[in-house]
Amino acid sequence: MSFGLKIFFSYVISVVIVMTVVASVMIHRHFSLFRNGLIDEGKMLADIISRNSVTGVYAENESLLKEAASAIMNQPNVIAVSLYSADKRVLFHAGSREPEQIGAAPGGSMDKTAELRGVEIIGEDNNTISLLAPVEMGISREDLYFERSPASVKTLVIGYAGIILNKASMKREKRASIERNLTTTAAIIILGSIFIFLIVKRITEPLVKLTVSVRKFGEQGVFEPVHVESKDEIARLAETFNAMYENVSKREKEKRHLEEQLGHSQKMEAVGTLSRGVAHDFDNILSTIKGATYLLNKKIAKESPLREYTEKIDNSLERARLLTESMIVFSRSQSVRAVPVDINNLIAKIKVILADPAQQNFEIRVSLSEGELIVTADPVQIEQVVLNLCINAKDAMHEGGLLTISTQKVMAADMPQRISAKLPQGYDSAAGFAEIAVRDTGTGIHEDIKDKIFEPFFTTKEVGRGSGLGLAIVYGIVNQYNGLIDVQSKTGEGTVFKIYLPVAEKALPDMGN
Amino acid sequence: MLAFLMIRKAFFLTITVLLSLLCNTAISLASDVVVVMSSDIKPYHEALEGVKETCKCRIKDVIFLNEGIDIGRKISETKPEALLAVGLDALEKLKSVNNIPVVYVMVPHSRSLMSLPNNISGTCMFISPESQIDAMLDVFPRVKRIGVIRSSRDYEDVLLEAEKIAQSMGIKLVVKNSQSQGSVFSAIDSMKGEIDLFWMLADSTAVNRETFEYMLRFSFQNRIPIFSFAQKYVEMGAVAALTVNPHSVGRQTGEILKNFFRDGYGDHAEMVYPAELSLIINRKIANKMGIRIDRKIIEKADNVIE
Repeated sequence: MSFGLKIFFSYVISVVIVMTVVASVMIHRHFSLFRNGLIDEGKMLADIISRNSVTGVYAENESLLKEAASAIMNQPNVIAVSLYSADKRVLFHAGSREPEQIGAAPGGSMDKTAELRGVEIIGEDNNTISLLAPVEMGISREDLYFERSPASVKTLVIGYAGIILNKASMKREKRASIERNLTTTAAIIILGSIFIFLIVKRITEPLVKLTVSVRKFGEQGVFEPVHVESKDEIARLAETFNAMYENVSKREKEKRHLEEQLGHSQKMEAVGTLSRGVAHDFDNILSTIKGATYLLNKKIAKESPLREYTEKIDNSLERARLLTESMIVFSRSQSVRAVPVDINNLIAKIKVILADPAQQNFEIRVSLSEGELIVTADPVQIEQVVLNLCINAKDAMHEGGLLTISTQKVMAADMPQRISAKLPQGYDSAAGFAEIAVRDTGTGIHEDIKDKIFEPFFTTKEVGRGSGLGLAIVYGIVNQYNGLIDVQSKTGEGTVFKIYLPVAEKALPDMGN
Repeated sequence: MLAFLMIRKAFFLTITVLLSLLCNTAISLASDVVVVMSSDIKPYHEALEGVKETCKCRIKDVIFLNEGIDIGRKISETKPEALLAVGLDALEKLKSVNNIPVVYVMVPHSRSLMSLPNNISGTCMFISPESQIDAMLDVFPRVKRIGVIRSSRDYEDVLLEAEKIAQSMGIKLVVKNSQSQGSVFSAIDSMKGEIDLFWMLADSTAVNRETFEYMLRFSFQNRIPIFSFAQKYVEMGAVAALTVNPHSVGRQTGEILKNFFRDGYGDHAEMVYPAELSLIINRKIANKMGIRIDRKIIEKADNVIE
């Protein structure tokens, strides 16, 4: 049974029990009040007739007694009136019950007359109540002469007045009271149950949402935050779950990112190792071919048509040499010579290298931060990185454009989220980075291939125009120094590569390789 | 000179001693009396005042019966020389006392008064039949037949005496018996046409609020006046009544007490009829019934209700 149903049934059972008890008490109280009212009325009537019948009882005069009794007989609930002498003879009787029956009524007895002190109940059964009152007369001889207070007047019982009351009205009232109370109780229980159901549903709804969310996360790995409007414990539970899910998701993302990085690094390393081996062997082969070509050229006349073929061989050898060189650079061992390098100074030199007065439609702009921007790295590698990026940028601007190289110092806390998310764990948010941004106004990188641009041998250039190792080399070098690369590109508008390298003032965490 | 002074001194000393002795004797003559009163009503207090005037006694304590005090214990504590019972209930309480004098006052007529022990005497409230008949004939001189109801044995001897007195005066006493409370009405009805005057006796069996209402109705319907024994009935419709004066009854009782202190109590109990009586007339009722009462009687009456 669900939690909500348990609460609902608990409440409903409690309400039923309470209302049953309350209804029972109300019925009993109402019935008691009505019964007491009936008895009080009977006592009053018995008292009235006992006072009004003194003369008639004393004189044993039937007409006087009838006159006294008639007013009482007209009262509702009175079914019989009887008047007795002191020796219990019936002097007068009116009503539907026989006077003898008063003495014979269950629990009733005329023998009780000896104990009578005012009006008393002398018998009761399921349908009737019998009351008896003494008929008294003052007897003191002194009262014949003087007026005395009623309290000091002695009295003599000269007879009795009996009244029988019908309990039918009491029964009717009891029935009506039961019906009323049952109806009210049922209505309260039903309305209360509906109300409780709605409340319980409202209370447990966040729990249900939470359950669904947890199940979905467990089965499908899909996280949907649970929104709870209340401010109670359930809301706090939902918030805690949401926070937990976010943390788990975050960690999963980091894990995937690290795994990707690891995969990429391993892949790079594997490729690097392969490249190193192949490059080395290839270089040897090329050396042999180059030597043979050299000797061949020496043997061939300058005008010989065979020179055409040896020139082609030389050209191919040169491309192959460049390729092996790139492969060697890519696979170069991690033991580099890291020294403090002023990035601004380095880029200023690269600008000179890149400048080509022949290219009128190609502009290079450099915007450097003030002062020095020092990183601890191999200057040759950094130069390689910047050059590779600039070459790619230039290649993307076939019909000319603007190449912008800029530098600035950026704190980790000020980095955009998408960049700082890539920072390894344990990085100090106060750490400073040297940002090197290379921006072009070229064709841009399509979104579909953006994730692949750093893979070794991946290229969009024509065959022979690129080795596909440039960006892989950039990635490897930047990673080596625990830096970051960020790429933003829009097809048709251009691309910006941003390299972040830790500045030399802060100590770097030991990431290992 | 010295001797003269000593003699004079001795003389004055003797006078002083004699005077002291005399005073003590006077003080010791005032006997202690404890009063037991049936209820706290004005006539009883008037009677007690009358007693005080003549008994030459000291009222040590007044006990009211409705206070629920233990009378026996009180008497033991106070040790009075006599007891005064005011009212019938008080007398009933003190009937068993036999070692000191008990005097009663303001007690209605009862046969039991005739058989009290010799230490109990007093004044009853009942007026002698002779006085009553005399008064009836003074107020109603033309009356020849007087009706009376006999319902208890208390008044048997009174009625016997009354019959003799009436007969001697040429008056017929019509006595109707009523053996039960219910037959009083029929007894009254049977007097129709047989009497000229209804004589109401202080008999609680025959007289109560219900029977008196019936008597009044009979009286008005048949123009038969009622001669009663208490003022309250005259106020309610009886034509005349001969009543006692509580204060003078008290004085009479005081004399009895004084005699007890002086002489002790004798062989038998003494019951004294009240000497001073009061005539009360309701002239308004008399006029309504067409009864003319003599002016002298009106003047003689102690209270006339107009």
